[in-house]
Amino acid sequence: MRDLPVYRCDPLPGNHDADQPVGFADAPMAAPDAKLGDLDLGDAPALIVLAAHVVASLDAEALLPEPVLIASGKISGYLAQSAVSGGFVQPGLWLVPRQACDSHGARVLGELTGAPVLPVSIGIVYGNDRPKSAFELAFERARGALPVAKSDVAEAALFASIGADAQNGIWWVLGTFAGLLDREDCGTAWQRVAALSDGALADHHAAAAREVRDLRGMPVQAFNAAKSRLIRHCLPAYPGRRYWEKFDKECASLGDDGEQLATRYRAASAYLWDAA
Amino acid sequence: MTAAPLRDFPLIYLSYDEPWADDGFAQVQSVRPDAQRVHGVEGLHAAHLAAADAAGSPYFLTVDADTALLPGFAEATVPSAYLTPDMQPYWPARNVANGIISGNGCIKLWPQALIARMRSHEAAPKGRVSLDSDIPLIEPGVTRLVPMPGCYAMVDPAKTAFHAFRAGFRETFFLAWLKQKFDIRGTGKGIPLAEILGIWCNLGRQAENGTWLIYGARLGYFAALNWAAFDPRLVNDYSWFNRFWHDHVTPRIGSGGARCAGSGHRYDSDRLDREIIALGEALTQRGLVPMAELTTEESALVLNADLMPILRTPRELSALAQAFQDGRGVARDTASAAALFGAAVILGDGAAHFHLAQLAVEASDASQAKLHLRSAVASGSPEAPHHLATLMQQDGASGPEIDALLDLAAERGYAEAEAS
Repeated sequence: MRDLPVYRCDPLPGNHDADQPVGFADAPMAAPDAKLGDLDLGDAPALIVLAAHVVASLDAEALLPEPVLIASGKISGYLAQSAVSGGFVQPGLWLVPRQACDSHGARVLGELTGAPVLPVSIGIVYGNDRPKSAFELAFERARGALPVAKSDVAEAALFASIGADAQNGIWWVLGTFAGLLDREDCGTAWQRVAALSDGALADHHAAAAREVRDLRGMPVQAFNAAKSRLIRHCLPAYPGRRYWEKFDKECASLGDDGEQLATRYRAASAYLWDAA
Repeated sequence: MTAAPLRDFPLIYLSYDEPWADDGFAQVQSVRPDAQRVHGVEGLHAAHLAAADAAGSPYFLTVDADTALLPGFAEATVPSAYLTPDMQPYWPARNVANGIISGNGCIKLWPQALIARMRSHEAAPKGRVSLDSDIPLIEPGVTRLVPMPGCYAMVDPAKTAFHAFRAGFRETFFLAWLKQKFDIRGTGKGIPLAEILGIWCNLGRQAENGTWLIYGARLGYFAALNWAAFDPRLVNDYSWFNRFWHDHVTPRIGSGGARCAGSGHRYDSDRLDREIIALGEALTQRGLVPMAELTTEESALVLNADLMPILRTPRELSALAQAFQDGRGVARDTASAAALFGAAVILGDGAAHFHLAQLAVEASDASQAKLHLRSAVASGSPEAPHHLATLMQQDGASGPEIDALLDLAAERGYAEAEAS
């Protein structure tokens, strides 16, 4: 991917791990109101747009874009891993073929739904540099994920619970719980928790987890920092099975070439996942 | 590539002292009615020789006593190319107590010829500590374990308090020993041993006898780090384990109101918890693996999320792919090599791009070779910049990009001598 033009949606997160080398470090920022068609591809067959709050890894530069996806003219996505929960979120980046740039009037920052997303992570997604922004981003993400499909409840509950050991992680977790409860706007929810003392915050953490369990039927837990750290340590470096299954289905829309692509990813997936 | 159904190979169920072994054998027979059983053989090496005798076939499968076969096993196959005297394919098992999917409790496909060359466990040469079958040591670079896709088995090592304790202790002691050994050799990179240790030492409280599994795991890990005079070979000595359980563990934990449903063993669950916490604190001070005391509900949340993949690394696939590429221990087979390198790349082994480039060159596909070499350059390969520059020069390219690639090759320590 390092040979393709790359654009950022926003500046590098201020709190990214300075010890980790940054992939696509020279990527320019797209203008806030830019449309995909405004971006310069040169003579490249596709360009890359890094999603907001994302820091790509150096490994991402080594990824070989799937020729089938570029030839299809469809925008595709890659995942990124949350710095707070360790869960995988989409997109980490978009791969935009030339045809899509030419015909797509979407703003760079606009949401591109329905794009095939490869079960591959390209880096870390932050958004937790300040308590308030961590709370707000987590709130919006959690509310945006509602209703949670029954099959995804356990995974969603686990990743909603992890984070207390991360920078501003407690605010992130509380924002997630408030978003899942979805009974007040984000600003009101923030005002209530921001006023709590440290001692009251821990009580609120436990109480909010109870509420989510009772009202949403999601078995979230109020993990303290040690438990959160442990569970993140034990969880896999790979996106979960459902991402692989979803991509497998998405390949079907790409005809015979898509089936060949799906076959390769299916073969790799079989080394990670037992039968569902 | 042709494939052989696993149902065509004799299957041996290995049991020793497990009280549930009759039921376990019946479960295996429900999937493989022709399964045979080897029971009560002293010594793990001797048990495998007995299994080989019972099988009477060039290749045979073994299943451990605490492993149950899943229905999908009946349809599973092995590529014929993997049937060589130097390879032991294995299919991992899912641990029902802590969710880990790994080689612990796995199904193994043994070549008789490999068993005959194996000198492991109690049969290891004097002076060599052998805690495993040590297949890669039989003929380094040639004999190997072969990770197979899919999972067709469940392992439940916690059917009784004693067996849970023994399984936890043995596994973490072995892993920690392996970790130290690999760290010393500098070849442990990529093996997720710390993650596996973290899971064994912390997850499973929601399971029957899960606390015993965690206690055994933490004590085994603690022993590996601290018991300098301990003979590591004792972890494979089941008589020693019996004595250790009766003379040390049982008195230390004491009798009480808790009862193991599998064995009737009574114990003091509060004392067991205190021991687990104390070991956790001691291990936390070493700072190698995080420790935390999860509740039953918290542990269940992690397990129910079903996020544990099979614990292996793409480098295992690349190593196998390279064997096919080089024809080491197996007939040279570039198609198998390409498929395995391809899977390794998807799973994150960027170094495999270099080998895919080599295979593309061999197939006279220069454009594909260049694509892979560019990715290999970005992955930090020392040799890829030189090879890419050479390919580009063959196309008539010259100038700053070639110079930059050659500079990069030199910067990464790739010498001209190696190139020639």
